Amino acid sequence: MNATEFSDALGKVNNQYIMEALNYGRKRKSGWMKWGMAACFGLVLTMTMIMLPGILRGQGNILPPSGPDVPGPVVGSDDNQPSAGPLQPSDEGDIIIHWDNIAVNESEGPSLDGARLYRDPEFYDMENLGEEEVLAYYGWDLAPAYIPEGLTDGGNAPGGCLYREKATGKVIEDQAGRGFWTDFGEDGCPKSNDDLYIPTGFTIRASKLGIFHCALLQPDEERTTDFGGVSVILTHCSMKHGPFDPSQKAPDGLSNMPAGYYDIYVASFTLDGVEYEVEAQRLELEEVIKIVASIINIPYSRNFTVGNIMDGQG
Amino acid sequence: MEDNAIIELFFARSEQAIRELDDKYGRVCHSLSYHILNNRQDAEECVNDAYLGAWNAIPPARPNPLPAFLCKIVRNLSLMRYHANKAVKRGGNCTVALEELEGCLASPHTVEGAIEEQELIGLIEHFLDTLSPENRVLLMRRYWFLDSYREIAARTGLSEKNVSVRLTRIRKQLRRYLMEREVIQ
Repeated sequence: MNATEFSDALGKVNNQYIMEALNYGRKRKSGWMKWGMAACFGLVLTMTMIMLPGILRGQGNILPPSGPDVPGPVVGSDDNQPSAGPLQPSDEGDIIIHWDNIAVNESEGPSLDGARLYRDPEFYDMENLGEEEVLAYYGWDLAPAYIPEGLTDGGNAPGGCLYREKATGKVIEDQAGRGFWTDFGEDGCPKSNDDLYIPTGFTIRASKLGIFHCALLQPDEERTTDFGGVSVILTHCSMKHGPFDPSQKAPDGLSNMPAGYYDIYVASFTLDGVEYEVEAQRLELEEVIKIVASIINIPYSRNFTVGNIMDGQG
Repeated sequence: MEDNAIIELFFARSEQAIRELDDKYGRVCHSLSYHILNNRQDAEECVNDAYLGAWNAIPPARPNPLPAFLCKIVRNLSLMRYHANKAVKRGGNCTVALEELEGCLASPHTVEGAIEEQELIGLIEHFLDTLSPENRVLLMRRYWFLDSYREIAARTGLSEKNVSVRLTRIRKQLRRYLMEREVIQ
């Protein structure tokens, strides 16, 4: 018997050994991190709710930026701040959408470009980013001021990771994200609460170095929409869902006839040197626009115009 | 998304299944394939082929647990490519790990008659059962997932030196175990 034969046989051992090796260590770490971060999140949220109105108003009229990378505009003291917590919008917050000036790019489908690069630990150090690290690195907790009704973060704090080159100490990959969904499974992943099996909600991802994971195939010519001076690329894709009828072909001729379609919208933009991507499933375009507008105009509490005509005719 | 929901997407023939699979297990699969192939592009292709394999297998298969099923496909495809590439390329965790095993299994004598693979799998499983959970994970991470000592150390909280020493002992135990059962001499 040689090493290859042994390796082949080892490759076929019962799944229980594979699962044990897969979950070992990570399980212990994530369990601690999950509860630890949940506790931190609870504390921070409580403190934020108590202190937010004062903090936001600050001294004088302007929200003090916590650093050069803080996204979002300044806010006057006469704005109506949300009183029930930072996650929901003020009722007075209006958004004006010039629908004629909204440009949505149609994508051919989801991108599976394998952008998840494996970083060899011999050459790269990985640092997990918890809530506090995300706050320190991006200047905010990736919770948009506007979150559509029925969506929550499920108690999950923002998270991400940094990769540094060992040789130079330089950060070469930085991504953080946070999700808001109708429901969550026991493993913390988004879960559908209806028969479609497709969760409803959105994820926001942020990176100062560029987002490597692109959710949808980009069209050749991208059109942008003006969100109060910030160019946003809105991309849409209609995805099929089952059950599929094997007796008929879908219009594209590639699959059996789907029971229906659902929407994926992706909004990409750069704000104060941070690249953002909001990926929404089964949400209306209007909701996606409001989410993005609330990120660009933190907090969502005053009139905000989307789809401005740049020469002032809007 | 939970594994059952991903499998339902496969049954519904929805492309979303592949996205969810990649979202949840993409990094594990890429890491495993890269350990074997030591080449990013080859690893990328193997993982994509594994997704296609999963797409073709589900339905009718309803794998449980899903990650073990997926990792097995990735490992098989990556090892096939590794052996195909071996004549022209060397290096990476897989080469070193196989050389370690070769040293453990080497014998100047030839055992009459090759052992049936199924019998060998049973013997390996029995050997795994004799190990402590931590040593079992060390063996699996090194020779199933082809992790480096550094990665195993990071996962288990042991030092690299300790991982190396323990694996040497485990290989000696394995050799003794296989010799007692006359699989090697």
